[in-house]
Amino acid sequence: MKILVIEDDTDTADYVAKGLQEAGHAVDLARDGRDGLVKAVGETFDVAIVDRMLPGVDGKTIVETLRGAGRSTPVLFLSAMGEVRHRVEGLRAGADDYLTKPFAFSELLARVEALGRRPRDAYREETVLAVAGLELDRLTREVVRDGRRIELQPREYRLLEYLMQHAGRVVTRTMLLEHVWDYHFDPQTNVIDVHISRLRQKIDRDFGTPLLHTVRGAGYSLRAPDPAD
Amino acid sequence: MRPIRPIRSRVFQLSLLTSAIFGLAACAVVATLYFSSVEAVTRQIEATIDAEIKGLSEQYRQFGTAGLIRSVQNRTRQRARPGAIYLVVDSGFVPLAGNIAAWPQEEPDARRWVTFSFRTGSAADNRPGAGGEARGRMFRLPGGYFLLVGHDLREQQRVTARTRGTLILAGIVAVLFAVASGGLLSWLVLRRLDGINRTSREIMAGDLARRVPETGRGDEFDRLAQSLNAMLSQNEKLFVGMREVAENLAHDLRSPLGRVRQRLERQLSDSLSAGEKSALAMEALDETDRMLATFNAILSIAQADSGAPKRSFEPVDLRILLQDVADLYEPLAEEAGARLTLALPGRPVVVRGNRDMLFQACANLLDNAIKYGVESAGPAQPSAIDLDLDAAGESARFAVRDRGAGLHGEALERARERFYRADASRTTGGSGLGLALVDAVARLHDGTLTLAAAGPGLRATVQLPLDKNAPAQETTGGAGAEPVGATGADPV
Repeated sequence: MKILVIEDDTDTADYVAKGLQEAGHAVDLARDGRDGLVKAVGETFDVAIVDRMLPGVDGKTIVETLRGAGRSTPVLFLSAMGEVRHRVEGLRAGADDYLTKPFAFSELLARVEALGRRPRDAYREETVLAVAGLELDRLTREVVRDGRRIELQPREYRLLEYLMQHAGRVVTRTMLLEHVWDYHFDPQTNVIDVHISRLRQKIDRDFGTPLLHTVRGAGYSLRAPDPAD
Repeated sequence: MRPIRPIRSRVFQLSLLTSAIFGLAACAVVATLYFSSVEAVTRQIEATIDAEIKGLSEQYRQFGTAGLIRSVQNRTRQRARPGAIYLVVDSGFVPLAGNIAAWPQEEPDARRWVTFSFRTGSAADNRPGAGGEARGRMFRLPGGYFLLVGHDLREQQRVTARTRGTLILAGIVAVLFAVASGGLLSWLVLRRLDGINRTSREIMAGDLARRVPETGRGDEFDRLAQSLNAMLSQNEKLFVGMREVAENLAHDLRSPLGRVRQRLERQLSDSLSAGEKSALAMEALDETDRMLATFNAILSIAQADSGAPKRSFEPVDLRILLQDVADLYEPLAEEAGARLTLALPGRPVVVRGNRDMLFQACANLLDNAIKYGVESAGPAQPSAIDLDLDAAGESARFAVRDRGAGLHGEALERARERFYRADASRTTGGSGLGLALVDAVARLHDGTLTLAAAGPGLRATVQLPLDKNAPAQETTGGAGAEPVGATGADPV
């Protein structure tokens, strides 16, 4: 993926750029808002990571200008301000996701990949999601693995749907809370893990190869078995 | 800081200024009275003299110069009018009749009044007497004679001199009064202000428990002292709170930081396999995640305390919110060995608030109930957690009740404090911030968190004011796209 990083703090910028490059992405770095805006409008990127506070032109203005120019480049806001209203403001300005500093790199990577690899709104039209032998029909709400029907609770269905939409990628616990439960908060316990293990029992236990994997220090990933295994 | 000196004090200057203004006004009144009374006396004298002149001119017209001289002699002898002065002289200014010794310096001019010096003594005996000033008119008579009619001003001058003296004395007394009252006033005020100054210096020197002395008289200084003391108490509480937070934070983060350091150090060792190294890195990551969670909780509390999220408040249906929380926590509770029972009213319960923070508050209560309310009950005994919501009057109330050991005495009192843990050794899990955050969120929403022993277990109740404006159907509390229909006391 080609990723634009607009960040004035050298440490954060280098850390983010290095990590993304190691994950196999091409990174273009802009150190101030003006430079960032020129690049964002002039070139095409799969994702833009924009710091909210920037010298010159601030992050909110960049996103608004970008959206005003009809560009739909997915934008992830970075901010040291964890305030609720800043999050709301950022998303309202047209950002697609929001992350507060300090963040775990795995969280940033998972979110960036979730934003970038999705052809915008494409998966919304897919009526059947399929990973290996697992199929989820969004019209009938039926889940089938290897021809066997699996009964899911409504919330388990939503959880699986989100994981299948991001199949092959890492999904963090916070992303699940935000998108499946639609709440932004910090659980003090492993409350998500229990849901995952319940889902795992239903979709993996009676079948040979596990599809739902735990990625240590990051989150979960639903993926087809590696042919090399 | 220097002690305040009275002369430099504003109060002293102000009271001096006030006294000076009043003194000046009084002087102006007295001076006006003085000058108008002098004027009145002068007018009266002139009127008397005019009357004399009228009488004498009558004599002169009837009996000529001789009659005039006779008349003057009569009047002089009779002393009928005290202070009256007469003198008739011939063309050589030799006195013929009258009660003063000689014709004064002034030229006779009938048209105007003159003030002149004279000496007493009759024109006849030529004995010079006491001198003084007089006021009068002079006439040139046919035949070379001159007539002077006047009035001795000495008595009047004595009176005015005395009046002037009195006025000056009064002025001096007024100035003394002004200085004295200024001094007294400023002393009275400065004495009180000095108390405040002394207290603030002592507080700056580190004695936070100092308070401004109150006299109990209930005057404005007492009111000032009361509000200052209230402010100082609040500041002290906040300061002590901050200090405790900082100390607890340092204490709580030192151990995990130490563990992170140990793991990083061991990772440097060459004898470790790649797998062991990555396991150590994972452990270090988990530790830092826990530390970050602690910081996030502190920041969330600070954010709730700041009141800033109020700007983004919206109507939230607590029924939907609690349904979502229960939905999220039910598997965790079940895994811990407790049945989570949700009891919701039949109608929407709408409050104004921030749904994420309210969700966090309720989640923290359930976290606690599962962590402390179930495990301490023991695995042998099936446990239960109740999550209830009801609305009565103007407030909504949701409560989480567990069947654990509960909290008692001091622990129940202090459980809402930041970093407070019933287990003083701080060895058990948890940051000690969960209930503090619930309390902060409740306060942010103008509500309260109440903890009570439920025998057995703990009952944590959050009371919030209902949103009176929002129509029940326009709520945004709903979470997922899935309708979760459970109402009434159904197990989730």
